[in-house]
Amino acid sequence: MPGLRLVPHLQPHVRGDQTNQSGEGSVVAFLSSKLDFLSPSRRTASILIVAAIAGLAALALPSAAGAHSERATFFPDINQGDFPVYRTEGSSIVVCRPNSRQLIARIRDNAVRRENTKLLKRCIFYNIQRAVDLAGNDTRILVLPGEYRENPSRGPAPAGCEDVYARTAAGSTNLTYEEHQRCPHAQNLIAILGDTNGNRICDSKCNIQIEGMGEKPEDVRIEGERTALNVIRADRADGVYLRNFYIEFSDFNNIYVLETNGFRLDKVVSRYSREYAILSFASDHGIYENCDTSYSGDSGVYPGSGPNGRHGQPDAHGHRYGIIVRNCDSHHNTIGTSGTAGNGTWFEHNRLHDNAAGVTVDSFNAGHPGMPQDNSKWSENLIYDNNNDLYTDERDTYCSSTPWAQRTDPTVVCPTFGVPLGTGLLIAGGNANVVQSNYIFNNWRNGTMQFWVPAALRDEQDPEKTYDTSSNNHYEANCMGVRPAVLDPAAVDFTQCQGTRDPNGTDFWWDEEEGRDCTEDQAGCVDNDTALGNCWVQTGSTRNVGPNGAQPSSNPPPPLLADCPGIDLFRPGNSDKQALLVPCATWSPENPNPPGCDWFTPRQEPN
Amino acid sequence: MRSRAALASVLIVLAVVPAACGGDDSAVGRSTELVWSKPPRLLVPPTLPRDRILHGEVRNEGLKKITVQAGDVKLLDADGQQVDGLVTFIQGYAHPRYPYGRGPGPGPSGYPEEERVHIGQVTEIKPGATRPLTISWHEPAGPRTPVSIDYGPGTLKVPTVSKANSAR
Repeated sequence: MPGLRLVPHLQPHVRGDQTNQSGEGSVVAFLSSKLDFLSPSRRTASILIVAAIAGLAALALPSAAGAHSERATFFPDINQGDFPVYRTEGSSIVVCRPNSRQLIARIRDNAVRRENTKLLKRCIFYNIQRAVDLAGNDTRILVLPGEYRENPSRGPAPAGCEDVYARTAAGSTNLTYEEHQRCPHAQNLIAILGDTNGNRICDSKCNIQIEGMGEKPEDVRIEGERTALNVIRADRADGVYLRNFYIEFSDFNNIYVLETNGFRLDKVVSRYSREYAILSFASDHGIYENCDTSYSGDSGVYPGSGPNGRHGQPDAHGHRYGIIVRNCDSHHNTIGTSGTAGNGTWFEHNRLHDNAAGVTVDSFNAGHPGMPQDNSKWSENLIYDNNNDLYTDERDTYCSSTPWAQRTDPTVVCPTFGVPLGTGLLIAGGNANVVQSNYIFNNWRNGTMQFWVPAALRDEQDPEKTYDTSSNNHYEANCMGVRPAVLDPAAVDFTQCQGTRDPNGTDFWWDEEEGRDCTEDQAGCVDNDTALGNCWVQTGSTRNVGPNGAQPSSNPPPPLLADCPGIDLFRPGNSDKQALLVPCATWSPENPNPPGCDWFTPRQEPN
Repeated sequence: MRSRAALASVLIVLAVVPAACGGDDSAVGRSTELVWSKPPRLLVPPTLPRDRILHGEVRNEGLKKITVQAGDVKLLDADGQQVDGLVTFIQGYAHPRYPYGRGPGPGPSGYPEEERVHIGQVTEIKPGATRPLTISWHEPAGPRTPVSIDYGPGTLKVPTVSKANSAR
């Protein structure tokens, strides 16, 4: 009876709310109690409007599909959908907290305060999920200042969801879409589920915009409280737009965007997730912008299984990259940004610093559509100071002995995986990526690092594809080992390499494998490229530059480190270098220093 | 746990290296079905001068499939004391499927068989097939240097490798 499971969430009740425990009752009673600051006529009108909307929404909701197969994800059609645009008009629902009035009074900006005061009169829910439940396509949900714990989404399993909740409690993060429809809060505090007929295309709750209306993101706080796996889940929710709020303490993802064609995250501050601050997966036409992501056990920003259909070519709209990450500040995570199968993503004007590693993309695992990773781009970013040692003996002991829910200091990050501490940017088994015009400095191990990942590790058994990763990556015009005068990407002249010397351990580290150029979707290794290889520009106006115009340091040195366009001949690489990486695969807090692996020992600051 | 894994790897190496490389008479003349398909290399990581990484590729020259669990191999010093080490059967760095603390575990020792294969903690080698093998250990001081491998059915001497390579 999955369709019926949706009905309780459409009943505009407030249940289980800490500040409104007695709020069970009809929508009219609830609204009357919450809108008592309105004149009687306006209050009645408001109630009628809301009730009508609720009724229409209930009628519009079809039953959910009842399939219970394991969730498999698929990319949206790249030639459908587009990047969402911010809207200031259209239907809206206002959400507030009991103390929003007091918080609004503290807003310094007069215009913002007046706008919030005006909106407060329209507030009809204390919880964002209630507004999502009520919303139709294109609805804006305006969230007034306050702390949103979403208590109605917590608590024991509703009838019919006992098995789903039990599996979740046992550690499963893998529910089918239909199970999420049936039990939207088994794993999510706020669930935006847009596909009602099981065709993986949004048809309900599309183009939902959730916007914090405060002066700054921290004015609207959405709290995971270490209990929910995901605080916000946008699943097949095409066009979703999340803006201007603070979110923290998920067990898995603070924000999780899945199988969604068109999403945008703007001015979101996301902290203290056990794993990911913001994660998108098998989605397209997405923008992360102006975000601040920090203190995540895995990554601040994770556009994993990124758009794969373009392979570097524009789609029907002319978009070469399906996901854009820009003007974000990702710091004090295990990894600033990462993406297994992180394809087709363009990172520009970000600050990625003070993580254990600044950036990684990889082809390590099966189960990620779009392998092997390819065709992403990093340009005009600041990638620096990624030496945050999360692998001390003290940290290992703490992380292995302290359950997530009992970790009291959220700034003490427990890494979920091992990474080469002190690395600015790592391409592990990626192809045809572009690293261009970035400042990369003071990463004590390597500024950039690139190595081969065997196809077998992603369960690709075709022997012809064993060496199909780590090819055709292009590094140009990067300023290596130089700290600009200001650490603001908007104020840095990326056409120059100016600043003070602040070296990386080694600017460019490469295992010397030149992968075979296999066409991804064809059996065997069909090589349609005869010109390009991995390359680092060493001459001319787009060469990579070190301090005072010197050549960047590298391992191997030129000419083994190939100038562009590279040497398009398969080479298996330096097996000694590759062997150095293998023992690191067994890292865990119980095995914190695998023999032969030095990834978890901080490097000395280079002179 | 780590020591068992290391020992497991050592076992394979000792069984294979002497027979296949042919230059070391320290191995007991025990027949083995695994041989190095080419001479393995012993590395000294530049930042870990007391560590050793032995890596190469082994081939099953027997007639039966061989399954090797890394944790079943023991590396022993001259007094028969176990020396910690690590064995893996993968060609490059592998990223575990499970984040630490979630799913089975904690850590690789608790992973299901499929994941243990993925990160190189167990391997199955069909007749004629080859598999990568990497063994690493912290080189103990003095007489605790590993000298033999206990792989269950028998014991092999650890081959003496006179020259280690300094990897970059």
